[in-house]
Amino acid sequence: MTETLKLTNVVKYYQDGDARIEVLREVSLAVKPGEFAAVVGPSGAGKSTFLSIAGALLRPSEGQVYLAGQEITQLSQKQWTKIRLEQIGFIFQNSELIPYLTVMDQLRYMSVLAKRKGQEQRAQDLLTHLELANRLQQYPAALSGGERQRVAIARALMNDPQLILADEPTASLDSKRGREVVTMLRDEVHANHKAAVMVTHDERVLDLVDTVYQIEDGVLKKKD
Amino acid sequence: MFLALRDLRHAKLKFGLISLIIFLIVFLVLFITGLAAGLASDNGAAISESPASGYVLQKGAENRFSRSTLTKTKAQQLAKKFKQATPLTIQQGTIQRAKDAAKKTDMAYFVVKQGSFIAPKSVSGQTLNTTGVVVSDKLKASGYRLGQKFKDSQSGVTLKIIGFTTAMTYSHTPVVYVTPNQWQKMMPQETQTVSALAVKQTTTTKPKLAGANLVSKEAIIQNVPGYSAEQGSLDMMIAFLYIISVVVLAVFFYVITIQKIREFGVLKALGTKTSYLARYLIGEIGVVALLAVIIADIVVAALAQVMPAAMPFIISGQIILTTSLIFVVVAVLSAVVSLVKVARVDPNTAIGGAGE
Repeated sequence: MTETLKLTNVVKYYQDGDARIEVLREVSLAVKPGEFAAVVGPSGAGKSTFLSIAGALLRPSEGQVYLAGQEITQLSQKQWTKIRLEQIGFIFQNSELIPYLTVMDQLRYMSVLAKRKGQEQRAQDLLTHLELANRLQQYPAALSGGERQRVAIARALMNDPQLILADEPTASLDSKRGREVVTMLRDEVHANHKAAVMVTHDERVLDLVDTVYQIEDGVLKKKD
Repeated sequence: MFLALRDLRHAKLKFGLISLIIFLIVFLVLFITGLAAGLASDNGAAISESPASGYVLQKGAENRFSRSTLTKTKAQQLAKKFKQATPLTIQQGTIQRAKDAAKKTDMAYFVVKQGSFIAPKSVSGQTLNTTGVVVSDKLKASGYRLGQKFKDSQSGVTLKIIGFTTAMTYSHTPVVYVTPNQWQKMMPQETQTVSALAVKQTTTTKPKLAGANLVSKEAIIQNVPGYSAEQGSLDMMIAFLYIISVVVLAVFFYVITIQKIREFGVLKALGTKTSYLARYLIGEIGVVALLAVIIADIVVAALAQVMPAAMPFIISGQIILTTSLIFVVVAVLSAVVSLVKVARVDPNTAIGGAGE
């Protein structure tokens, strides 16, 4: 079976005068469909850079990135935009919902962008499943942090991507809510057979994931 | 338009205020445009709407009727050089009605031969003949009616209104058309001279005229006392209003865009193309500007209906439409600075929260 996300020997460095700052060193990783992986590490370890490269947002200095068997490392920005829209679902640190869109519209927008029609029912089902059925017409400002992050999960799933990337999804939540959100994310990943990578420094939710990677000083290691 | 319409609906106050500013500026531009057109017409309608293509004035008259005097013999000599030419005398004066002697009205006499090509076309009553005078429609506002008699304040000669022509004006005063016969009675001392020669020329070649100049209609209007200064300052106001609106709108939209930079990063990360965001921004600005412009148009059109006759205000549907169009284009152009900013937003900023 092809891995949904595969990174091989990815290196990212920045030139700072004469010095070369290495953010990622020879990072390799593979995530299969239905697998929920977590990447943990302290601030500045390269978590964000790793996620940006996996999410077709940043070009690695060396190495290759494959998405569902297709190499995407050297594709154009335009092609990346299309890939992000159709094949990757993002969950950001502070949910990053659009303030002037209702919960339903947050999801509708994804279908509008992807030019997919007749997605009303899917949006409602997703939101109902994430226990947001009574929040459909609310604006993000009226929601709690946990609810906002659940909407973000629904938005990430809306276009039925193969890969879900979550950037510190529990950062703005207390431990109980954080756990709830990660549990829901795990359930969705398993139920829909998606591959998911969550970048976090919240060690308390690691028991919910299938695989844990540790990143330190740009080196990624699988934890047993 | 998905985002634009929802953003507009959500931030009604913010966009309402921008709309209000655009409305006020468009309204002011239209108002000044109408006033400029009204004043221009008030200043020289009798010249600009005359069938004459030009005027022969005395040399050194600096294109002004008031400074030009031609003897009748001279005028006859000059007239031979043109296919059509007829003498014209213009003089400003004051008239009053017998009943209401205290109330005088400033006006301008146009002495024209009855039946000549510059004789006024009457919209009511008779055409100009020796039994009376044809006067500008504008005199109706001062209470003058068809068949009424009035007195020339200076000479005391009584004249009868036998016809009304359109709102002919000269130097902001209504025009009274009199025949040379009537004029002689009023000004016995001026029987041997006229101000100028009105000519109709089909060729572009300038005939050589001794002691006189052929002046175009436009040059005459430009030199009506006060005309250039008046129109020039109004035109400058309008030009400045356009510049002000571009700058104000550009700053407004730029600030709004800066506030949304993070959001644009997120939208791009989610897979939104820059072109989609550009359409969203332009759509938003377009809707706001269009709304404001339409309201301003309606208000100005309504105002033009209720404006008192004494206030010179002329606005045509075409001018309203052109101005509106220019404004919407200007508003959209003001978004260009913001678009450059949006194009430069890196979608990668969405990752890593507020930093790291």
